[in-house]
Amino acid sequence: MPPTDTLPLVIDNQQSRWRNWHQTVDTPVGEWLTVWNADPNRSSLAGYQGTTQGLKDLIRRALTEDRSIRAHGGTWSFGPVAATDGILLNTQPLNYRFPIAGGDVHPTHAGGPLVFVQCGMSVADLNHYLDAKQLALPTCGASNGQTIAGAVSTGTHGAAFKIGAMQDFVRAIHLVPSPDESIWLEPASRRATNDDLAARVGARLETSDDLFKAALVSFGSFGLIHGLLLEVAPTFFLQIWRKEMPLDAAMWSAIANLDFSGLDLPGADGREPDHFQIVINPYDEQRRGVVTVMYRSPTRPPGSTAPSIGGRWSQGDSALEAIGLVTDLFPDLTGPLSKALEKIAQSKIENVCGRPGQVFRDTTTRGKAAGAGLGVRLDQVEKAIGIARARAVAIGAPALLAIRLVKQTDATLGFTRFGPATAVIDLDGAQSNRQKRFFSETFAALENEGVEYTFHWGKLNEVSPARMQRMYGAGRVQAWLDARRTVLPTPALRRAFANDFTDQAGLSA
Amino acid sequence: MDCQKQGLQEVTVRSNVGYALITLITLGFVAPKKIEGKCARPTPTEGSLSPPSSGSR
Repeated sequence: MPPTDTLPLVIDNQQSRWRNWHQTVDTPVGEWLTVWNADPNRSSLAGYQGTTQGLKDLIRRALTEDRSIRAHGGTWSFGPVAATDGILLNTQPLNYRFPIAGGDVHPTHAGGPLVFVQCGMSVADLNHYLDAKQLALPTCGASNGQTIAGAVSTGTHGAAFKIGAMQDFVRAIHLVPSPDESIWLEPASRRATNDDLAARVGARLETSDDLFKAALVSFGSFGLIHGLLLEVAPTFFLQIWRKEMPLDAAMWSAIANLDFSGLDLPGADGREPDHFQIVINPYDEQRRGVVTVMYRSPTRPPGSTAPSIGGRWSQGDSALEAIGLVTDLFPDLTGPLSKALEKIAQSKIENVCGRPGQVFRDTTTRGKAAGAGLGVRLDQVEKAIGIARARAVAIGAPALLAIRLVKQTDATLGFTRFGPATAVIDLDGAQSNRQKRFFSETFAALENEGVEYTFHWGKLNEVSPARMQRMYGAGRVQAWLDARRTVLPTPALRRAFANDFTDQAGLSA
Repeated sequence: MDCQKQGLQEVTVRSNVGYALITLITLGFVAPKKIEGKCARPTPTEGSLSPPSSGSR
C-alpha cells in the first residue's frame, strides 16, 4: 500500500450536470470529481503509485455503491462517449511525465525513444514537453486540447497517411480495471519494456496482442487508463503548402491509389507528401477543394517561413475550428457562409515550416460546433463525398467537408481500419437541427448506396449493434468483447465501466 | 473552486434571457450572471521510473 501522503486529492466539483468542450453534450452526472496527484508539480514514481491506489479506491467505491465510473480527459469528444450518470473523473491534472531509461527498454525494441505519460497530459502539453527534448509525437490531431488518454481511446488522427492515428504509437497501456490490481499491457509480439518495469510501477505485466489491440481504442470501457507508454520520434519539420485544386478524375484516382505522382501538388518538387488533406465546400459548383500537403524533413528547409503565432487559428487547424469561431455568434449558418468560411479559414499557404508542436497548436476556439467523421475505403471516397455533398446542399446544412488520409490501424475497433490507408471524411459545421438531419441522412444514404464506412468515436455518430456488425464484422466485435471480458471478468466490473454510449453500441456485455 | 495553487486558466461569464429579464425588471439593480472557471493544469517536473536507490528525482 503506498504511503498516505502519496494518495491523490479527490475534489468534488459540486456539479449535477456535465458539459463537454464543444457544448454538444449536457447531461446529468451523479458525482463529478477532479483527481489531483498528491504533488502536482513534481513527477515521481511514488506519487504515480499513490494515484494508482486512489483510482482503485474510487473503483471500489463505485462497485460498493453499484454505480458506473468513467474518466474524461479534455472533454473534446462531440458525443457522450465519456459520460456517465455515476461517478465521472476529471483526469486533466494528472500529467506526470517520465522518460524511459535505456535499461528499461526491451532488447527487441527497435523503434524510437520511449516516454511514459500520465493519462491527463494534454496533447498540446505533450508537444511542448517533447519539443524541449528535441523529440516529437509521430502524429497528432489538427487541434490539441484532448488529453493523451482521451485522444488515443477515441482514435484521434491527423492526416499522416504513412504513420497512422494516435493509438498507433502507443507501446503499452497502464490500466486500472479493478479495486485489486492494475495491469501493464503490452503486445507480446512487440515488447517495448523489460519485465521488471511493470512491477516497479505497481502493475501486473500482461503481454497479449489481442488484449492490447482491443484496449487501444476502447473509449474508457476497459477500466481507467492511468498511463501510456509512447514511442516518439526525433524532432522533425513539416513543410506546408495549401492551395485550391480541381476535384477531377486525376485527384480521385490519386486518392484511390495513394499515388500523388500524377498531381501538380504544391511544393512537391519530386517528393511525395506525408500529410494530405482536402477541405471541400459542398456549395462550390466549380468542384474544387482546398488541398493542404505537408512534407516531413529532418531539418528546416532553406527558404521556408516559420508558422505564425498568436492568431486564433494556425496552419494545423481543421475546418471545424474556423466554423466554431464564427458560430459562437451565428449558430445557424447556411450555405453562403460556408463559402466565406472557406475563404477565411483555408487561405493559401506557401512553404511555411515548423516543428509539429508549432504547426499543431492548442487552439482555444469554442463554439456550438457539430462534427461527424467517417472512415471510408480509399476507392469509395469520391462516391462518399458525392453523397455527402448532395445531402448537405439538399438540406441546406452549414457544413464543410474534409478528407484526411490516415494509415491503417491495428486497433480492433480503430475506425481507421481500412488498408492501406483510411480516408477520414469530416462533416464539420455549426450545431443546428439541419446539421443533425444532414448527418443522419448521410449515414443512411451511404448505407443505401453500398459505401462501407466506420464512425469516428469522438465525433457525433449514431452507433447501434447492427451498425457495429456492419462496420467491423462480427469477428472483430466479438474479439473486442472477449478481450473486455478478460480484463473485466465479472459482470459488476463490466457494468461499472459501461455507459449509455456502450449500451447503444452493444458493447457493454 | 480548488485549483491546488495552479491558478485559473479560463473564466466564463454567462447570461441568459431570464437573467436579462431580471436585470430589466429591477432597472439594473440586479444583474445576475453565471460564472464558471477552469483550473490551470500543473506543469510538473520530469520524473524517473528508476528504483529510488538508483537516483529517482
